[in-house]
Amino acid sequence: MYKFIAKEAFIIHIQTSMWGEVEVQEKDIYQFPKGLPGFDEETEFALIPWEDTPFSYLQSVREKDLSFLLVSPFTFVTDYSFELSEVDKQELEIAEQVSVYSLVTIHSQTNHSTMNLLAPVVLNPEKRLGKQVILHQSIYETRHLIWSEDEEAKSVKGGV
Amino acid sequence: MLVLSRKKGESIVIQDHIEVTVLAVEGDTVRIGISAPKHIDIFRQEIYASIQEANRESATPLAANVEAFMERLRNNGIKKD
Repeated sequence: MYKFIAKEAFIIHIQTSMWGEVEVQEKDIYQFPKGLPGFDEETEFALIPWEDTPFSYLQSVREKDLSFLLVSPFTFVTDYSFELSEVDKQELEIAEQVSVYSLVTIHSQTNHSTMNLLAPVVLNPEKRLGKQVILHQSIYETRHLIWSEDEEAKSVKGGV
Repeated sequence: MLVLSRKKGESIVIQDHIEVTVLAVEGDTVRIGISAPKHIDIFRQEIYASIQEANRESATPLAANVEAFMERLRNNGIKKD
């Protein structure tokens, strides 16, 4: 019963260009104190999971026309890994829980779509803090093809 | 832009807390050490610019493109977790 009341009490309505007004729970609103590179002014985002997919939308709470498609990088790159610096851990107040997402860039030619592995979005679900972390000395790219060229070749051959 | 000449081992102080030191000069490469408060992020300019650009390209994907993308994923067999 308590849970039910708590849930009801913390629903927030935000405006989006994709789906008009949506209901978001307070637990899904994250503060990005430094914004995102290129969007430094936007510091509050809702994480809206896309049901039955590994994707989520990161929707600006203030700016309805600003959203990003996120995906768990491990969905496509199973051996993805990086070390979060102590400074970033402190900044995000990470104790135990941490979520990692990559920003997806969708191209009109879908097979050219990429995800940003060099600058993952790291979230602390307990404190609802987020930051786009830029990895130093990393082999990862900002535009990692979701479907590699090899896979393309295979799927063309085996496609029919 | 403020332009200052510094020798190896010399520093520049910005405000109270940021110190930039020239560590080594070799040909056209200069090694720079920066000490700054933890909350200040320091990046190579071209990396930061490439992330800004990638973010702008990612921002607010067109609904039609998202639909085509998801359609392709469904065809390839999407991993649900």
